[in-house]
Amino acid sequence: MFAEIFRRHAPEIKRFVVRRLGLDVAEDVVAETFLTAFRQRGRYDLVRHNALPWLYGIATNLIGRHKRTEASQLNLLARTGVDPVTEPFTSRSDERLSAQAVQQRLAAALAALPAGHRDVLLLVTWGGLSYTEAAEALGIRVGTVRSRVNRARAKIREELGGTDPTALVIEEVRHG
Amino acid sequence: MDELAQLNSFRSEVPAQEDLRAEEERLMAGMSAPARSGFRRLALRATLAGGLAAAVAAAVFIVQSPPASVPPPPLIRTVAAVEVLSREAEHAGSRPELHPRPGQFLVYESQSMETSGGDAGIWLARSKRTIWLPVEGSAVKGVLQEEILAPLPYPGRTLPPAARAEQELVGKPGRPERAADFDDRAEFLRNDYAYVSKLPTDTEGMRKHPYT
Repeated sequence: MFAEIFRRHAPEIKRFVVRRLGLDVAEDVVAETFLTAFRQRGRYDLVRHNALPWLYGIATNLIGRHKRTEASQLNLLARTGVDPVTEPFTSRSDERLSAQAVQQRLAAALAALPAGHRDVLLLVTWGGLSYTEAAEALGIRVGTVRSRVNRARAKIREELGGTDPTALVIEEVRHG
Repeated sequence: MDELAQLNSFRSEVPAQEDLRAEEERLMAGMSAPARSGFRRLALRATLAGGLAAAVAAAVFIVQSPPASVPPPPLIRTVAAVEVLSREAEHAGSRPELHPRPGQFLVYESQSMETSGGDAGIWLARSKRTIWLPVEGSAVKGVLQEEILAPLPYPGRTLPPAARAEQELVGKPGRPERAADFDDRAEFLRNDYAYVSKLPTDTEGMRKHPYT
């Protein structure tokens, strides 16, 4: 029964953890996520519920132990344009240059979010959880999920301000 | 492309993770291990972070002394901020200094009273609030409990019927909840005790601190 849960959900959970922390830490976090889930399985009705939000919640708590790793990788990307998380998966010839400025700003915006806002935002976007599922995953109210997503979106929108590269140039000229 | 779409494509080149042999092996080993292994303790600690298993150190600030069963009508006067702060400083000086350790919680109890109501009349709403804040780490890991206290008539008025809703909640403390809304700061702007207690205590030191 539990092995089935692992087979069904581990690939998705691992991709989520890799996107947040990179390959190096992911193995630890994923192994611990499922072990923790296994220990808690008595408290959870696995037959009736979709286990995914529950697993995402445990993974998010464990990711919280690696906040420094997450922040330093985001900051590195923001400063240099090199993302240590995606590097192992990107071929040198990849043409991602035009997207790079946006990535750097996104990384800066994500790093500057309060951890709780980042958790909720990434569960809803990368994890694809509904607000209700995200609330269940983190043990918080749906209203809190909604307000965090709204505030986090506003901050990111602000950071991305001029995503159109030409708009950016015009602005620089105007200020220059 | 809006910000959510951009966020969704951010790091989307991370492929589906199919190779989970290492994780599966560790899971199988953990599932068959005796229950009280170190790994289990570690996992448990993660689950309980923010819980109340740790010893509790108490720091109690009672703004108003606890009311007797029939509270006397409150004395309302304007108080200058400087007076409130001086009284607080005097009060703090009369108590032993706490040296809480990481893993412990600081418990703050406070009582507040404020005018409430509107078209339906005016009264004084009162509540008691207890918050357990972790000595180290984000306040979001704290636990908050609130209890409605009996509303009081506004001086010179009677208690309007609208205040009855509060009256009915008296003696029914709310469920303790995670202080999930205490998350208005980025994580590098720490204000937990473990961090604040290590800050320099002199002007010169604080001037240098932002650059360290």
